[in-house]
Amino acid sequence: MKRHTVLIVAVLTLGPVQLLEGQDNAALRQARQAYDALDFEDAITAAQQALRQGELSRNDRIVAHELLGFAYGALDSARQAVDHFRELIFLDPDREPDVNMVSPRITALYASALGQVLVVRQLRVDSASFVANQGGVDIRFQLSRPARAIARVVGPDYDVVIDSQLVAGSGRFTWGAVSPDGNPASPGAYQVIVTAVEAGNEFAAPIDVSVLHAPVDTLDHLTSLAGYSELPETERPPRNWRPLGVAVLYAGLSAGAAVALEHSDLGESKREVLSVGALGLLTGFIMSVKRPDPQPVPANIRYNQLLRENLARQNDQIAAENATRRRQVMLTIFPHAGGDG
Amino acid sequence: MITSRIALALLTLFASSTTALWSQTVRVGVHSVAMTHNEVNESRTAEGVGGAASLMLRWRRLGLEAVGLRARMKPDSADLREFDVLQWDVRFSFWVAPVVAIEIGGGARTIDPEFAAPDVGAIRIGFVSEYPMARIASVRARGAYLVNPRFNGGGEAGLAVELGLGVAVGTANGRFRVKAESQFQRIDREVNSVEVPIQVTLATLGVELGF
Repeated sequence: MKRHTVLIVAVLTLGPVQLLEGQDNAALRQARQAYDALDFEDAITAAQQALRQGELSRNDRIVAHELLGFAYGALDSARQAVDHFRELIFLDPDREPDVNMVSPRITALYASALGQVLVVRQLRVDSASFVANQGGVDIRFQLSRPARAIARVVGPDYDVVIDSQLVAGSGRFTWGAVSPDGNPASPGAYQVIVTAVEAGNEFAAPIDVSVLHAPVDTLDHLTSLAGYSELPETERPPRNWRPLGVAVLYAGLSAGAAVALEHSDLGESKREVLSVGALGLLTGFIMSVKRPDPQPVPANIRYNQLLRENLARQNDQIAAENATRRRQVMLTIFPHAGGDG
Repeated sequence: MITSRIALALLTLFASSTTALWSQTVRVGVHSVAMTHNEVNESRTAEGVGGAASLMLRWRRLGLEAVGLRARMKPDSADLREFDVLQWDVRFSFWVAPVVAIEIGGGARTIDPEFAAPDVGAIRIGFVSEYPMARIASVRARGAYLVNPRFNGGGEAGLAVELGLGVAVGTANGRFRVKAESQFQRIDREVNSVEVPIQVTLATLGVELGF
């Protein structure tokens, strides 16, 4: 009766165990088959036998402890379940029961185990590209218990402690990927190690990252200012009769004066003056009816000048910025695939 | 003597100038001339044609204009001899406003053969106004009082004035232009209290090159 009750409870409350595939150990395979058949006692026996053999890989040990934790949990053996979950957490801090797939009792036992150990979990390094000394990459992690976290990066000719801080729950460090003297870290493979220290307990979690170097992009020089365009520096004024008016004035005054000053005893001799006067009037008329010449527009000339000065000033700034950028290094940092934890 | 000094001054001016300094302010021209010369009364009228050369310099507010012309004159009356007119005029100008300048200069008209008509020399003080009708065309008027004219036949002048009108059309860059100009000159000469007035009108039509 008791056995049937346990089976019913297990079926209702346990989900599938997320075992790693490809176990080579026969005892472990047997334990898993027994667990799948809800024969938890045989599963425990086989798993413990596999652990005693002492030749399990890390992944197999993870599976063994997880299987034992689940089986003991199903059998209401809380102390043993917590013990094995604790071992599981030490081996793989990021591995935890899926709350959607396992019973709350199992997840409660796992949480209890987690609260008893000090580990660094969910250690992540973001991918980032930035100019050396002008940015950094974030290192995120969680501690299972409040503790002091120390971040250190080790790589080729590089061993730098980034920071140290007291963390409760989630923590974050920023790594600028520069040496203490300000030089960018050499390209290559690095390891970011976050160590949690609390009283006599200490746990370190590494993650591998790569650092790449690239030149910093330079800015293109401007040929125009966005939103601004040069205005025409000359405009053709509307046609007017001013040239003819001027010609009439000049020719009229000259011819009139010549007539007035003509000596009465010497007869008429103003043919030359009248001829040139007529030419002047004709020229004035033609200049009046032809399309007026374009005239400079001072306001537009000044506007264009200011525009060009502004453009030149901005290009000078771009040139100075480019000169600075050519001396800089663009760092690209990314974690290795599967290298975390 | 005076002519040679003026020529020397012009030569020195050219020699000391630079291309940039005189850019667009140096003009030389050749012109055809039509002239009417009246003296004493209506019956002593002579008309003729000839040629002229001109030089114009302009630097900032200062200007210099020199014109020399020669014309062959034919009197209307068969009793009078034909004669040649050789005339030169020099005018220095100072532009007091963009379109107005005061002018000071001198000029002389010599007749060959001598006494076929009176030779005249005078200093002139006047003004010139040049107004651009458009970028390629301008009109110009001038007037001057002739100070104490001198004649080879003696005598003196009361009223002695001259007027001018010119029009020029050319290229926008000022390198080339066609220019027509007229000049009216009246000198009320008296010899021994006898009026022997002189009136000369001339017109020129020519081309000028600017440098």
